[in-house]
Amino acid sequence: MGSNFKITYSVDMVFCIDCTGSMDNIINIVKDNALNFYQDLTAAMDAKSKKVSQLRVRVVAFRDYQYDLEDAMLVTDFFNLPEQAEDFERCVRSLEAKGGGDDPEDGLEALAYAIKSKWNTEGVKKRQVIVVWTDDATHPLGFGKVKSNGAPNEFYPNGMAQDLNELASWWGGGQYNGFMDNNAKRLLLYAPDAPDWSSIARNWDNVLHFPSEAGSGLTELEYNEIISTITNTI
Amino acid sequence: MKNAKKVIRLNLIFRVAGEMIPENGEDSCAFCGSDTNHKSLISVFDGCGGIGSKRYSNYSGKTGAFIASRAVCGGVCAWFENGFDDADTLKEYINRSLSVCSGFADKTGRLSGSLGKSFPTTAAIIYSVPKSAHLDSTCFWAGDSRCYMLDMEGLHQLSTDDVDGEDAFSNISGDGVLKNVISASKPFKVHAEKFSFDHPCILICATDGCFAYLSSPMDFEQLLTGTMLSAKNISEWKILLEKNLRKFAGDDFTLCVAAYGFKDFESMQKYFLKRNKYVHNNYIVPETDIQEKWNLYKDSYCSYMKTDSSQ
Repeated sequence: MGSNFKITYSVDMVFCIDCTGSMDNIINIVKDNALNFYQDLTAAMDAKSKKVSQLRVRVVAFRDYQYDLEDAMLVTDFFNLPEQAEDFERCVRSLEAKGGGDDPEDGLEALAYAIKSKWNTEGVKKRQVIVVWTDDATHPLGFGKVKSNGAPNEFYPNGMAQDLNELASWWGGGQYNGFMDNNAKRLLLYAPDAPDWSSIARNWDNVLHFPSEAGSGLTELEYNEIISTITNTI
Repeated sequence: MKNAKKVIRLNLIFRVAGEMIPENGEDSCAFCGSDTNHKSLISVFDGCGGIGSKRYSNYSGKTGAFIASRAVCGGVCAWFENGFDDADTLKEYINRSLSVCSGFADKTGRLSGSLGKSFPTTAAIIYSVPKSAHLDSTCFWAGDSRCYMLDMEGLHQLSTDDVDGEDAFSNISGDGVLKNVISASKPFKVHAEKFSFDHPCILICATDGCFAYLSSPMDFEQLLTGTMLSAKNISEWKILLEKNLRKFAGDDFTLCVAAYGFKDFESMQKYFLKRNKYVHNNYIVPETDIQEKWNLYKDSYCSYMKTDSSQ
């Protein structure tokens, strides 16, 4: 009587991690969060009979283009998990908190890299999750196009979104598609209640914002709420 | 007395429910039937655990989803008990329930963003009144819980899913987004549609835990009639329904049933025997052939769906 419909998901996650000097005291907590997050999420999905058939994780470590030049952005390919779990852990553990210059960082450029990831498009049910950990506000997009002496910055990427409006169109929403699947995408911000982060949390679809210093002050209850929200929003 | 019209009567009314985590299920339901005028209300509510996962310390640490399904259920019961039957007052009662939830909720949470909603829940409600030889039923709904009517022609969905998907089958196998849901923080619609049935039928309200983990709507129909035909009486039908739904469901499940126009349970079984065999022989197929069979099945399944009028 009846036959069971097995729900399987492919899950892609991109972890954008602020690696500037101000993160020094919490970078290890963020690393632990990043390493535990995918395991906690897949366990929660499993508990809801949502089997994860393919899991991939990618890292975007960011600083400040104007100050850190060629060290401003570290971008990896996707790691297939659990097969490449050791490589992923080695990558996360190797991140160092340094540089950054002034207080705002280039978190929006990191978010842009994340949005333009080569997402898995196979299968019906997908999750495309971006998590941002930062303790600072953002520069406006394009701030790092020039060096601090006013000369063009050859390390700033070509084809970057020009402003927050263009980045919003990359995210997509409502009737129009961006670079991500509108049904599958989720953005989780561990970021201060600064103008651009707050604007994204309010105005973009499918965003959760935990306004605090990255990786610190999150209670177990709040962490479970985040995992539950991402797991259960279909 | 030869010309006296036959009055359609309420034969049975019950609910079947199961929770994934005991005492933490986010579904709720209410049903009520009258022995005298044979009016009935069946209703189910599915608190949305993802967007409503915030826990409230002054509600015993329960989630917004858990609280919403029960509060809105209470509002719908009060609406029915106070003798209302229209969509305008229904929405007023729902809003009043949500206001009470919000008013007493602690405001301590730090999580914000567009993904969360305050006290979100779906609703599927059928209010029925026999009028001499026919049954007037009104369906009210919001979200992806469903109202159905089951008769000799098969299972018919009366509500239209508030899901960004192609049809009732793709909505369960796909990954469509919920477009409309009751909540305290965002505007919502309560859809309302009236129906008139002049033949024996079973009315059903179901949360997605009942049907979304089965391969197709055909399998759901087969589960409903198959358990009925295997049962010796109504109590056993309930037990078999619960047992079979629990076997497949990957979520909380709640089903409310009201049957009208049958002489007794045995005559109900006889009425559905032929249909059950037909569905078994023609529509219960391997997964590779389901889409093809759905294409044949869906005309009848969708034949009662109307362009909605919403609140």
